[in-house]
Amino acid sequence: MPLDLLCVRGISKRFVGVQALADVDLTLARGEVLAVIGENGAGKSTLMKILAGLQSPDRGTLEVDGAPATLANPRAAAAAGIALIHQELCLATNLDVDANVFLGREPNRGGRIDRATIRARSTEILQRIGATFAADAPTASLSVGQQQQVEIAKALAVDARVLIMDEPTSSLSARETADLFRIVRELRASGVSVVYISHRLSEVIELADRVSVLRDGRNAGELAREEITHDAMVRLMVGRDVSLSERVSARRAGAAVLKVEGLRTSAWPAESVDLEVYPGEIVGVAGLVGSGRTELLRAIFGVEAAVAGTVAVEGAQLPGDVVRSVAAGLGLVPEDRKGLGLFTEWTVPWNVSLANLAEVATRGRIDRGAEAELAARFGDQLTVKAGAGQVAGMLSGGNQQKVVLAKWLATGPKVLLLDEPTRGIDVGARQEIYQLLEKLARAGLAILFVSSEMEEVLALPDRVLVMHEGRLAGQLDRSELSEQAVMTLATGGSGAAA
Amino acid sequence: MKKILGITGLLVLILAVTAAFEPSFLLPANLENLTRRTGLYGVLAIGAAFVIITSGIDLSIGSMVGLTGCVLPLLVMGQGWPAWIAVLAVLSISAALGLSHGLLITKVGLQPFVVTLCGLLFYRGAARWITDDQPQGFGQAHLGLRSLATGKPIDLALVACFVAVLIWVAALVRFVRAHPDRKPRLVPWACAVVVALPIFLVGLGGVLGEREVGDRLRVDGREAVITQVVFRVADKGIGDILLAGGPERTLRVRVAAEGQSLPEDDEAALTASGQLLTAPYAVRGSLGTWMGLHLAAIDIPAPFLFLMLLMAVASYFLGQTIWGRHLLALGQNVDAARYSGVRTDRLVILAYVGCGLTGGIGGILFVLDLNSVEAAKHGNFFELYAIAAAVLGGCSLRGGEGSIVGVVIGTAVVHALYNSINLLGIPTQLEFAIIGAVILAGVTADELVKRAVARRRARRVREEHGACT
Repeated sequence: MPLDLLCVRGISKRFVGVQALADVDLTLARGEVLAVIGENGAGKSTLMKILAGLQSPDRGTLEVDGAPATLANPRAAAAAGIALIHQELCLATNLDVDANVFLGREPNRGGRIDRATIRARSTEILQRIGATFAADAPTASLSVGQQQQVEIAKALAVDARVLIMDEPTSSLSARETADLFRIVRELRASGVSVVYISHRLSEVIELADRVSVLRDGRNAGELAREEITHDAMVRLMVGRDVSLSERVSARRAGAAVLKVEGLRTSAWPAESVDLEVYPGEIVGVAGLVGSGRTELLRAIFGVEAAVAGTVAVEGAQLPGDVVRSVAAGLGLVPEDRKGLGLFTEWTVPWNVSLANLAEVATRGRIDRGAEAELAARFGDQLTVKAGAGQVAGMLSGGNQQKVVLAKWLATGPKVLLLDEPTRGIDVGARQEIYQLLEKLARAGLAILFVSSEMEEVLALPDRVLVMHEGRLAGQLDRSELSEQAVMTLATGGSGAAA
Repeated sequence: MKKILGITGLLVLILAVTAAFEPSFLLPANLENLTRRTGLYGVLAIGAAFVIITSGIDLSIGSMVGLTGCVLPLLVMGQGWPAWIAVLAVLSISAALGLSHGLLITKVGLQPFVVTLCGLLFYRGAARWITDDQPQGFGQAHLGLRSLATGKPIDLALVACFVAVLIWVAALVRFVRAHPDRKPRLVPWACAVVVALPIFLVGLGGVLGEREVGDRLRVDGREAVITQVVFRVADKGIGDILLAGGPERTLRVRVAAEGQSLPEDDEAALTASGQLLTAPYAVRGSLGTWMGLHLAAIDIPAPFLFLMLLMAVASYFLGQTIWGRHLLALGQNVDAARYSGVRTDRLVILAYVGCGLTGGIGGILFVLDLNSVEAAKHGNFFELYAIAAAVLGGCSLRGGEGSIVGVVIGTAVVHALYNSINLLGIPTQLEFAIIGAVILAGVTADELVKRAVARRRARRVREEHGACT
C-alpha cells in the first residue's frame, strides 16, 4: 500500500458533557473515494470539522503525506490541500461564477483584481470538471447542482488534494447527482481523494472504494469495496440487524377512502391525475424531482389551489381548503420540515396540539392540562425524545419528524399524506417511522407518501404510483416492484403494468 | 411570566430612582397623571402588539387617533349627534379602516409597512380637511361624556377591597368546581384567603374614612366644609414619606360663623360664607384605617381602569384561547400555520381590525381628556410610542411572541421616564434621546439574556442527548 495521503490516529474530541469522538482512526489513500457513514450524532461532522481545521482535537495525531501536521485553522487545512464542501452551499449569489471560484484569494496586481487571470483559470477548472456553464455566468442563475460544481471548482482552484463532501446530494435531482458522480470519478482518476459523507447508502454502494463507519464517536468498522452492501453498512451503523418486516399486503376492503379525479396542478396544468387510496393501504408515489409529486400532495390537501379536478374523502368532496381538509380527516407531513411542518421555537405540546386545539378547548379556551395529556399520549406513542419545555427546533431530525407526525395523528386522520417522510433522518429513526406507518396502516389509516428514497419506495408501500412530468406514468403492485421498473416509468419509459 | 420580569424590574427602578430624587413624584396628582397617560397610550400599544405579533406593523395609529379625535367632536358638537351614537360611529369608522388594512395586506398582498404608511398620510390629510385645520373640542359641554377620560371613579382603597373579594371568589370557585382528578392545592389557597382579610379591612377603612371635598366636619366646635385636600411632601426624604405612609395632608375648610350653620347645597352662598381655615387631616382609628386612608388618597383615572379591562381581555384572548394560539402560530411561521389548518388570512385581518379599533378607542379617550385637539398635530408619533412600548414589553418585530401584560408595563416605562425627566429637571430637549437610549438598552439586555438562556439550554441538551453532528 502506498503512503497514505492522510492519516488520523486516535483522535478524541470532547464537548461539554459529551464525548463526540473517542480514539478515532481514519486513513485516506491517494485517489480514493472514502465514504464515512454513521447515524446522526455518530461524530462524522466533528471529524470532518477537525480535518478542515474548524475544530482542533483534544488528543490524537494527524499526518499529511506521512509528516505530522496540526490543522489549527481553515487556512492551515487549505495549505495542506484539504477542502470541505458544506451541505449548505455558501456562494455569493450576487457575483459571477469566476468571482466565486477565487473569492477571498483573488489574483491581483497591487490590489487591483486581475480579472483576466481569474477568468482564464476558472474556465480551465470548469472544463476539467465538465461543467456546462461559463465562467462569467451569474451564480444566481445556476441550479443547486451547478452551484455545487462551483464549490468544487473553488476547492480545485487552491489545488485541494482532499475534498470532503458533506451530504452533497441532499438537494440534487437525479441528473445532477449523476453529474456529481461523474465529477467525483474523474477527480479520483486524477489523484484527488474524496471523503464522502452521506445518508444515502445506495450512493455509497455506487461510489465508494471503501467505507468507514462511525458509531457513537468511535470506529465501528470498515468495509472494503467488495464488502459494501446495504445490510452490512446498516448493521455497522446501528449495531444490530434492522430490516423492514415483510408486510402482508393489505387487501382492498370496502370503498376507497381518498378519491382524486381529474386533478390538475399549477405545476403541470395540462396533465390530470386520478388516484384512489383504500383504508389500511400504503401507497407510494415515486418519480424524479420536479415530476409534480409535491404539488399533487399539496393540491389534494388543499394548501395549493388545484387548476381543476376533485378530491373526495369517504365520498364527500373537499372544497380545496386546508381547514376543511383537516376536518374531513386529511393530514400532510410536508417535505420542508422546519419551514412548513414545525414551529421550531415552540415546545412539543404546542406543536402537537396545534391542528387539534378544538379537542382540548372548551368554548375556545385551551385547557393546558388536556393539551399536555394529548401531547404526552401521542408523544409516547411515537417515542418522541424531548425534555420538558424543550423547544422543537432543538430536537434531532427524527424526533422533529415524529412531532409533526404526532400533530396529525392527534387529529385522528383517515388519510395521511407524507412528502419525503424520512429526509435528513438517521437510520434508526427511519426504521421507527416505517414501523409506525405500518402499524397505522394495519389500524386502518390510508397512507399516501412521496419519496425519492428508492429503498423506502421498494420496501414500504403496497403499491407504487410513478409520476413522470405531471402525470401518473404507471402503477406497480408489490409483486411487480423493482428499482428498474420504477426508474423506467419515472424516466418516461413504457410501464410494465399501467 | 419570566418574560415580563426584566421590564417590570426596569419600571420599578425608574419609579424608585425618581421618587428618591424627587419626592413630589409621590404626590397623588402626579401619580394620577402618570397612570392616566399610561392608560391612554397603553390602549394603543395593545392594538399595536396584536399586529406586531402577526409580524406586521401599523404605522397609522397616530393618524387614526388624530382622525377619530377630530371626528367625534365634529359629530357631537357640529352635527348634534347624541354622544353614544357618535362614539359608536367613530368606533365603526376605525374598525372599518383597520379592516381595509387587513384586506389590502392579506388579499391584495401588499406589505403592512406600505399599507399603514399610506394610512398614516391619508388619515392625517383627511382629518385636516374635514376640520379645515380648526381646533376641535367640546368646550364646557358634555362633561358626562368627557368623564369617560377625565373621571377618577375609584381609589386604591376600593381596589384593595375588590382584590380581596376577587381572591375569595377565586378560592370558592376552585373548591366548588374543582376537577375531580386534580385536587386544588389546599395550603396556598387557604393562605390566600387568610391574607385577603386584612387587605379587605384596610381597604374598607380607607373607603369609609376618607375625607373629600364637600364633606362636613366640625372645627373648633363649629360646622365646617372641606374645600380642598392639600398634599405636601415638604422637604422630607423618600424614607420619611414612606414611613409616614404617604405625603403629608392638610385640609382647607370653610368654617361657619360661631353659632351658625353653613348653607346647604348652595355653591355661591357656601363660597361667600364663613372663614377659610387650614385644619389637620385627622387620622384616627387603627393602623389599618390609617393605611387605608393613604390608599384612598390615590385615585385611579378612568383611562387606566379601561386599560386594565382591555389588558385582561386581550391577555385572555392571546394566552388562553385557540385563536390566540393560532395568532402566535402564524406570527412565528405563517406557512407552517397554513399547513396546520390555521385560517391565517382571517386572523391577520382580525389583528388589523383590532388595532384600528384600539386606535379609535384611544382617539376618543384622548380627545375627551384633552378637550381641544388640532388635526395637524394631534396624535403625531403616537404609533411610535405604541410600537416602542410593545417592543419593550417583549414583542418581537419578527412576530410570534409577545405578552400583553408586558406591553402595558412597557407603556408605563415610557411614561414613567417622561415623568421622571420632567420632575428631575433634566433638560426636556433630551426627552427623546433618553427614551430612545432606555428602549435600546432594554431590548439589548433582553436579547443578551435570551441568547445566554438559549446557549445554556443547548448545552444541557447536548449533555442529555449526545453531540449534534
